[in-house]
Amino acid sequence: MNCHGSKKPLPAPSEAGPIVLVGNPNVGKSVLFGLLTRRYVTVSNYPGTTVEVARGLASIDGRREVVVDTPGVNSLLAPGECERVTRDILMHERPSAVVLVADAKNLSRALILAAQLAEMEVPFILTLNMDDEAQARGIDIDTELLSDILGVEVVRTVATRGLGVDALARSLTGPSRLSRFAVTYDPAIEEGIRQVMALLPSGLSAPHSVAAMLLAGHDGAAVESGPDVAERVADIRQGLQARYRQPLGYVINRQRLEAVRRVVAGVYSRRAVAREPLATALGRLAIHPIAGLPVLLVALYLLYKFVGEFGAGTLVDFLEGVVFGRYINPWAADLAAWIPIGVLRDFLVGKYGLVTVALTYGLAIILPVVGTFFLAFSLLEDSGYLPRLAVMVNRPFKAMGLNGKAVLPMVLGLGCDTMATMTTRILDTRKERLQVTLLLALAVPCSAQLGVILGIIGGLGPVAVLIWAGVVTATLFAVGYLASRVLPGRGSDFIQELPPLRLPRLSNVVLKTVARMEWYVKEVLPLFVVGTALLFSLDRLGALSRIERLASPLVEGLLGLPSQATQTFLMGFLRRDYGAAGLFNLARDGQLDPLQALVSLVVITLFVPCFANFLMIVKEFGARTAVAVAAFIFPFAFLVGGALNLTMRALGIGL
Amino acid sequence: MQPRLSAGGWLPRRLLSALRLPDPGRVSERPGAADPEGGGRGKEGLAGPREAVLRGKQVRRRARIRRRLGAPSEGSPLWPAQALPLTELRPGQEARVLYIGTDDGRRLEQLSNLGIVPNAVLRLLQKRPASVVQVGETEVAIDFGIARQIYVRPLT
Repeated sequence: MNCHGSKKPLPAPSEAGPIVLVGNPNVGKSVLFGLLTRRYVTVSNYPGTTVEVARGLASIDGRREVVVDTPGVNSLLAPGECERVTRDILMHERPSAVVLVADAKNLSRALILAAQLAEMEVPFILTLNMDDEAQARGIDIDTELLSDILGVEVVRTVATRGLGVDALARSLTGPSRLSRFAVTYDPAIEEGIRQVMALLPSGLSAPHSVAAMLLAGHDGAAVESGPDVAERVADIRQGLQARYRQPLGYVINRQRLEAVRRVVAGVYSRRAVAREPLATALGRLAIHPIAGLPVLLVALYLLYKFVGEFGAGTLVDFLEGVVFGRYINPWAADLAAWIPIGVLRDFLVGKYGLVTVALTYGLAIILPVVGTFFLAFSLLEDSGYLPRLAVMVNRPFKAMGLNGKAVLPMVLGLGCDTMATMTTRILDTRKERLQVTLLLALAVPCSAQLGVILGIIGGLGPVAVLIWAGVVTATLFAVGYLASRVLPGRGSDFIQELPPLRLPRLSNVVLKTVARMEWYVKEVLPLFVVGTALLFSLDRLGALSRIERLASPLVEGLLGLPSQATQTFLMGFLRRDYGAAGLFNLARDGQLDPLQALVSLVVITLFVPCFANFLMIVKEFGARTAVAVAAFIFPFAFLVGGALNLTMRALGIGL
Repeated sequence: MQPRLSAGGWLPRRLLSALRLPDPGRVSERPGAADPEGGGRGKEGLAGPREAVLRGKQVRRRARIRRRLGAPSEGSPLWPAQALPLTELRPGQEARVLYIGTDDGRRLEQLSNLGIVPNAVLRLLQKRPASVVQVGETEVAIDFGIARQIYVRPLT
């Protein structure tokens, strides 16, 4: 738990278990979480997963309670990391209270979760959030009747306006009730459940729910039992499955849904309203096949401007040039001058020094990009535009075996590939994450590079620009398509919920952003330190110049470039913009003819990611995968460059 | 001889062949084009006691299947001539879901958690760049390939 600059000592949390918020995606859980906790929030990955979980402290009835915000799920029993993490938190962290946050207008989807919580014998409080949106649509819910039927407390809230939060906090002061909303399945299934329950070890909590999960074939219900028990359960399941055409899990889901439908029919009513809310019309516009395009372009442009120019440009220049350049690095150098040991001095402030490279890179260069990205991402998230963006780009992405959801990391790659690699977490399957990571490392130039590239290429004429853009785009699609064929695993379905467009709540956005930035400093910055230390040792051992010598024939022969280009490529690995800038210098000094310039630009665009990006891949996918990716990209970039070089010379195309 | 069928989804072959008289000579490629009354079409010009018996069997088989799958309570037939894939609706049309032609458990689960299950009523909002439907108060964008597997009966 961190203190965000407050001077008060951190109070000890109470001994009771945490308060856990669960609910469908886009119901305003985070806003409610923000209202309850206000401070002392950390966002971290649930151990062993890429799922973010937010924890904070709330003041309930004078006591400090831990509040946990789980990822949005549409079902507690579905496979998938988010669902598994939510289940784990509910079952293993012994919550003192569970708040089921519902979108009032989509009551039935929340009641699916309510039915599951009831089955799992988890007591909860139901809060009908976004009551204002429901009212605007003429929806009326009889909360008293609902509370009676479910047997739990029901609280109305409008989290974005802070309404109802006090009532919610009050209801959290006492113990929650266990819902009596038990779904009775059809006789055959109930019999099957009874048979499985008889086989389960005694003392298990919620055996009915566990038995149902086992029959549905969900891995989530891993139960410690002997192999013969597992076999007998499998027999029961097979026998039961034979009576239904659809998978058992689906049959159970549908019967649950039917029970939910009956409850909703009794409490939910809708009057016609004069006008649709404005947000609905805007939302339709954003995904219109024609009108949606300018919206998309504007959004991408704004994103690029904010993250790529303001973040990666202005802020980085300030932090790198002023804060580090004029103050921190010279101070460090002065301090280091006192150290008698030369090696140690170099280690701290030398060519690959801890302060001069690792910290500068991590804090002055990447952090601003990361920070601005997180801000922009939170805004896109909370406004509801993000899924619409994915809809607009779904078709072209399908050509590459991906789907529209991959647009975000790809666009972010234009700002910073390292950052973008981390954001591939939002994709559903490992195959897609790996595919996008590969494409980012290969074909998406980051903003640092892009500026210099466009600067050089402008001077070569429009034909060169076209060829460069064409080669890079063709590589992107070709490798994307091939990767989708070659990589194991499956892609995911594009079934995307479109929440209504809303004005993001700035306090929530800022809170999320700050929490994520903190996490970055704790998790990623050490990587830069390690990587730089490695480079330092390599340099000391003379390995770097050896690599340069080895690579020379390739660079000069295949690519037809002067020998100095080798060094720029090497620098390009360390800092992508250094590499591009090195080329810029060569071009400016007249060392490169136009064709050479073009070829070298293509190669440097396709080239291996910068070192930080490489380390990020190691962090997200493991060392072996990272090396495999690099091992593919190195020769491939050279091949493409070489092919371009030879083709252009053979065809005698002048620039 | 069983007719060979493409794209069965979870509809068993037995079911589909029940919709047409077994006719080794004429095989329909697309089950989606199955004409429920097509027992007659498949065997044009054939009449007689044998065909009548086969048709009777077909009617009883269909009734059994209807009971199994749970036909909508209105009593309307499960296989009206208007069973369409979602992708063939007009924007603005409302329809009731009849069945979802896939075996993929994950896909079925995702759809059902959003409310897209047989008997649900949905409204098609647009078809490009993706199919967007409204079910209850939820708007969902669905890729063309998946939308094509959702068979519906138009209500408007």
